[in-house]
Amino acid sequence: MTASTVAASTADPAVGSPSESPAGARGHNAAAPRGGRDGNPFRARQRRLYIPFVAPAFVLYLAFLIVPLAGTFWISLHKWPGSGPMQWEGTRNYTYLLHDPVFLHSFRNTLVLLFGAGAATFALSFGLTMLLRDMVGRSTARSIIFFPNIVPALVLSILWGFLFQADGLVNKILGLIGVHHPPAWLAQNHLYSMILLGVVWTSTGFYTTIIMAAVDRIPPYLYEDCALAGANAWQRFRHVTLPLSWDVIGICAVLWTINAIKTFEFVLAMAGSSSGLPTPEVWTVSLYAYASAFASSGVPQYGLAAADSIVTLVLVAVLVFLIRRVMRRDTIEF
Amino acid sequence: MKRNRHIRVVVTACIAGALAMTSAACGKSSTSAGSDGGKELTYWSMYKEGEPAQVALKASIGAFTKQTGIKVHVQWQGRDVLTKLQPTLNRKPAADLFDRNLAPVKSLMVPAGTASDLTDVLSTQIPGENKTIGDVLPDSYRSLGEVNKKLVVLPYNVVATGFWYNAAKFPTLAASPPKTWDDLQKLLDTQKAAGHAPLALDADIPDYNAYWYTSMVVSQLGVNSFHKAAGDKTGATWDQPGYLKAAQQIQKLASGGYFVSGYKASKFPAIQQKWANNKADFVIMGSWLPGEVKTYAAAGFKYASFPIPGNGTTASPVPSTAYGWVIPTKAAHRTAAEKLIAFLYGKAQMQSFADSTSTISARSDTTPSDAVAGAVASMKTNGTYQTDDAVNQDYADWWTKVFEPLDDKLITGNLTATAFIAKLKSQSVDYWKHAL
Repeated sequence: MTASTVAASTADPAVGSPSESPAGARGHNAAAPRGGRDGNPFRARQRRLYIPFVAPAFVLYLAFLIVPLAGTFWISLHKWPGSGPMQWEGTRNYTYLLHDPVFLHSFRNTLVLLFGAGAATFALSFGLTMLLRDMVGRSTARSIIFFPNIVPALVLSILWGFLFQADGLVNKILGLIGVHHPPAWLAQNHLYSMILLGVVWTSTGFYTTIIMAAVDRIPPYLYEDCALAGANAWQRFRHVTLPLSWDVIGICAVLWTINAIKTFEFVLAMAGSSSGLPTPEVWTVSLYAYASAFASSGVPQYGLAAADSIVTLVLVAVLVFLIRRVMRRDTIEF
Repeated sequence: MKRNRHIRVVVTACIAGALAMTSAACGKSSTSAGSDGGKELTYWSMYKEGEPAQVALKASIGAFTKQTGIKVHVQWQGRDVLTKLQPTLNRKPAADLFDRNLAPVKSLMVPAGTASDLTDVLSTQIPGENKTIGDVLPDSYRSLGEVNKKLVVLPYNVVATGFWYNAAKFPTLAASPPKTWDDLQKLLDTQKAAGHAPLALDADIPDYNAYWYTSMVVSQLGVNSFHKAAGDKTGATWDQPGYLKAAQQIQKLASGGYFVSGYKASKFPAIQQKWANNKADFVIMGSWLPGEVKTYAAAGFKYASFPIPGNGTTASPVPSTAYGWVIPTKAAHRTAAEKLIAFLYGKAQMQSFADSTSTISARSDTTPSDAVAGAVASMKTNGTYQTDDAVNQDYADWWTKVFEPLDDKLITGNLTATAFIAKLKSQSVDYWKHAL
């Protein structure tokens, strides 16, 4: 018997999969007699309260999300310095983005961050999860790993910069162990890689903590069954850990996608300075939008910044949709 | 059905409410400028609380209120003061007076017509003195605040860019600074041969890297030469030999090991600290440098500067930036703002500001500190021009997206001079073809 069959066989068939449960619940509600008709006063009151409860949130959502979003799209169709009249441009800001090598480079950087740093972050998070699962003092270790997530990214990025500069701590330590010509970590051709490394470092603790919480829910007897069946570490991960934490991993993937595409302050603080923006070599799409609207000199290009933001939003929406589709599975109950 | 109707009613009401809130917010700003009673004004400062400049200004504003009875509502906004103020400029400006340098004012206010021409303020008499502001503001400084002959920034403080060094190490340099790049190159070679690192540069800051190429081009080809090439949509100007020669000079410095070790892989101010601790000899920087490094500079460091060397036939003017007063065109209390400017232009106030900030006062009859005395003398003899040949003001997007990335590569030795010019030309042509 493999570990996955152990997991499947130990799942309670009477409960069914949660993906079925909500649908079942909805089906049940749809099939149930309506309050007004079944004379259930509780259901009637519940329906009456529906609108008063939903309306305030809906108004806020409309006023602070939908209307600004529509406004952003409207601005993206104009040339606008942030004050004064707007000049209609139609889709020109969008076509400009397609021709702007700096935007295309920023877009590429964002995708490298999303997929490259994402793969590294998740691989590390899984690795740490498996290592920490049976470790003595794992809650202390978990807190230590989570620590970079508590400290503001701004502080970490500044620290990261000082650690890796030419006379920084890392090179000093390397010098002590005999590496007298270390790489120029913060040189322009390595800078984005160092930023990626920093983002992985700050994010790993967060995702490890979430995945560990999911793994902690897995009953130990499943792993005991695996041990009896002679499963190795990879098989335990492949057939027990991964399927039983799949829904949480899906959420993590969505969170990572959104956070990665919005990555901004780490790049700005690590590669920029008080007197200016970082080199465009390390821009992400978020930094591109910021630079278009808030550069220290030059006419602000709010239309271009808005177009970039809309493109970013579409990118997030498409990726989240795809992730949800790709990761959709019948969740195993245990 | 009844439930659906309820939902439709609520959704419609919500949309109407949200739109009403939005339109109310949009239409709320008053267009009335208010009456100029001359008894109060609002001043937004580019300084933050605790900075020496803020302390000096606060004391002067206190003295102004005491003397005139005019109340000044001050907000210490910091360097992004104009970004914060900009949304209010077309209706009722949130500040009647603020201070900044020309670049953002030229970009954000001049095209929209929201910056007052302060030329008439030059004829205002300074309280307690028999002089007007125009009498004590040299033309070379005044021009740094002008756009098309309109004075939109009335300078009170000037930053001069040049080569900075420790005069205690080079006691004779003040009397005989290098006049040409060849002279400078000889000096650098001597220092290098003696085992010193001749040059310092925090190359992680693109604007600092740009000082080198822009000033070399201007020293070769004159003021406006870099500006002309930057705005040339055909790119043909870059083919003129002076542009390549300037790039070759940079390439020689980058590949020849003249910059102190670690300059291209450090984080500001690491290299500046090395310079201030005598681990490198010269750095191109603005005249804020002595004030910036004084907390960590080596004991006995004697700040001095010489101008960027010329081409051998004419002295190169000094790249300079003016910081000064700006009054929005729709300011509600313009009269009071002008009175404050005139008061702050008093000799005692200007001297106090210059002394406490170790910067260069725009008032010609103040006494500069020893650290900036050389820079003041250079500006007086050689004249001034806008730092970076005003390209970062007029072609800011090109500057950020095309020039600086290539310039960063050139000065860190990742691009040859020939490749630099070729890429600069081709990328510029492409940029201007698609520019918004």
